[in-house]
Amino acid sequence: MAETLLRPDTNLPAGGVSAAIPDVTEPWRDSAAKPFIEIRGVSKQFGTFVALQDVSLKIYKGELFSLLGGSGCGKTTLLRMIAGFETPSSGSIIIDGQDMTGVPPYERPVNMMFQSYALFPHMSVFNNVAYGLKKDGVARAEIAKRVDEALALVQLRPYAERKPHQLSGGQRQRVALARSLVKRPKALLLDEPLGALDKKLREATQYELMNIQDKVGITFIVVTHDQEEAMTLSTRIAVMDRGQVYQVGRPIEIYEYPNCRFTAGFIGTMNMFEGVVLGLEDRLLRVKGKEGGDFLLAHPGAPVPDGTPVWVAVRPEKIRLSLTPVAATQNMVAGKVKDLGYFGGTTSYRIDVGDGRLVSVNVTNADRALALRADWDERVFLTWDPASAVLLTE
Amino acid sequence: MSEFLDSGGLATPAPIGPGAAIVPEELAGLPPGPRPNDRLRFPGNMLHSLGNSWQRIMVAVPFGWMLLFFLIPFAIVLKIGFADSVVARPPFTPLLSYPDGDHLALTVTWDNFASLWQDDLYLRAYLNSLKIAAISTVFCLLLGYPMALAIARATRQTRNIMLLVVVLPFWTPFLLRVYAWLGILDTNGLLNRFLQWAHVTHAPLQMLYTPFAVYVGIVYSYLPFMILPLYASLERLDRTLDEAAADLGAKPFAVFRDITFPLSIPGVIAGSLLVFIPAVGEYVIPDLLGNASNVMIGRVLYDEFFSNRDWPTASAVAIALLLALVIPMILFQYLQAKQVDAP
Repeated sequence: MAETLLRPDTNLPAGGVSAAIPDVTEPWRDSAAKPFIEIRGVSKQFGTFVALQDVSLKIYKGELFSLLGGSGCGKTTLLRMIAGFETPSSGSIIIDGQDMTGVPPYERPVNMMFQSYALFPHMSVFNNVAYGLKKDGVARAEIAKRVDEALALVQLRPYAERKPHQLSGGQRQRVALARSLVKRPKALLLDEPLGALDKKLREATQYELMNIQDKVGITFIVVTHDQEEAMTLSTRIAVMDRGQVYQVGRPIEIYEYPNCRFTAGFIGTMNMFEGVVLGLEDRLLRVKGKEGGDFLLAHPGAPVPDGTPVWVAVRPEKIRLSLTPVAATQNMVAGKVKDLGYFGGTTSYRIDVGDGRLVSVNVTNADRALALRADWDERVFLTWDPASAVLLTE
Repeated sequence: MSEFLDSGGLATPAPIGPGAAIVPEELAGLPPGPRPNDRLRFPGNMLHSLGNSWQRIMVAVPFGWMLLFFLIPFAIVLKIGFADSVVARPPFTPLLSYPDGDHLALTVTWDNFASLWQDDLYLRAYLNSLKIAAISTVFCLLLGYPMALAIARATRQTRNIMLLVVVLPFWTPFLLRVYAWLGILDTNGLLNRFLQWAHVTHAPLQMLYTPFAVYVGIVYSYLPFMILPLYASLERLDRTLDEAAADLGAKPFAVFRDITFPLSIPGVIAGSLLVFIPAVGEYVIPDLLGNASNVMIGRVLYDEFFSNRDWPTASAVAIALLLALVIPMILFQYLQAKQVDAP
């Protein structure tokens, strides 16, 4: 299972992830599966500014779904709409079969963890966490029990009587998490949950967040601008830009099979070569490079007519670097080393392939003797397999 | 001396008795020879002491101001409060005198303070003042809070206009504004004519020279002092806290009750004090709009000074008023500081 591979959490028992989330291996592949949260053609305008443009998403029970994009891409607006703080200009949001149009935030079965945490400064940690239960009229004894459970979940039991200003940033984050989980919402909305933490704490908290989600089994929708965070955390990612969703998929799909130039460029590093489709050749597509050279790559599935302008996209780690000319008639580019960075495990090159166009190449230093394969200004040859490249049409 | 040196931690025991070496204070405890860092520390020390003197000046200015314009006048009033009233100029006995030419005599009397208790005029005036000020403060709060909240929640442009409207009355003299109420509340005034025109009443109502008019005057005059500090504290509030409360299931009124209001309490206290304290000593408004049977302490003070020319009694009234206001405030501050410190 791809997610298991992508979750290097050694604290989990073997198979813990799939055991903790029973029926949610890949519900989005099952056309009969009922989405838990459905966003149907939602648009939002602020004056003349279009924040969201006809966004449709299906999110399934138990998912940890990320909305990923740069600032101003509409991801936070979408999250606030699910919470009920913004109303769509058109379209609707359905949570667990119930249309949320006109339902105020305080009646929605979701809870939100705010980027600033929004802890009530005049209340103790206990009262912060208990607040939502009190509003629901839960009995006092029950409140005490559930708050205690929630604080135990985030390991903050000894801090119940503290005020928020007496806590560290990481502790506040966990109080916010406990407060939004204690009502057992149908979905938890997290706005940049790790954004205010420093790097080291962020990594630790990231895995803690996944552990907690596994334990409680609540659907998480996370807004983030950090692609690494999204890749590690998510079951699926929606890549957004300028109010539109460009691609929805598992991290591995988003990374290995981007469907457009935006996704390809936004997630990780991608080398793109412009060209024109020449035709089919033994189930592979031949592309004539604009700057010379032929490319051969796997057919994307949808038919691509000959003569279509396309981009051939290759990830830096999928390119082989050679000092001697390679006898290949396609997927071969020659250039000169312009920059290199030695990172220990890998060496990262930037190769000038003519006219200042740069291609990034990452070489794994599996062999100590060959760790630094090419030096500055050295002439090198880049090759890759047809299966390693992706065809992008827009 | 030897005891001092011992405790200073000299390396060699100090000889005791006559002829003991006298060691300069600052060298005690240091090995002999030139002290390290002497030269290096010099400019730093200069800057430090300069900074210190600036700090002292900055503290001295408000302190000097308080001394000159509050403590010295208060001492004079206090002195008069312990004197006897005489028909003379000044109209009170000196505290220090030479009755028989060569002995300095201190004459202090408690009579003025005692009379405050004996004559129930004073007590009634005090209580009446506290009552009027308290009720006025409550009304200022009830009227001012929604206004401050509306200003704090308005868009930037509207907010500035609204603040301007709140402050605008200050551009006309206070006395003029109180006089304007005479025209409004008079039996033939604007309000009565409007009520009759609207057929709410058939005959003119007596509004002027009643406690009602005094409340109207005080609430009107002091409302900005309530609104401004309230606005300042409400404007600072983080609106995501409201959203967080709503998200957790709080309806709009519960959000106000649980989040907005508790967090604005510093503003409520500041505004209430700014209204209550001057309202207790208010003189002009009850004098122009009120009647003689509902005397406030400001009126009593004025009468003692100017009509009776009884400066000692007037001083005692003033001191008692000050203590009655300051002591609860100090107590309140102390309790609040204690609450903040508590874990």
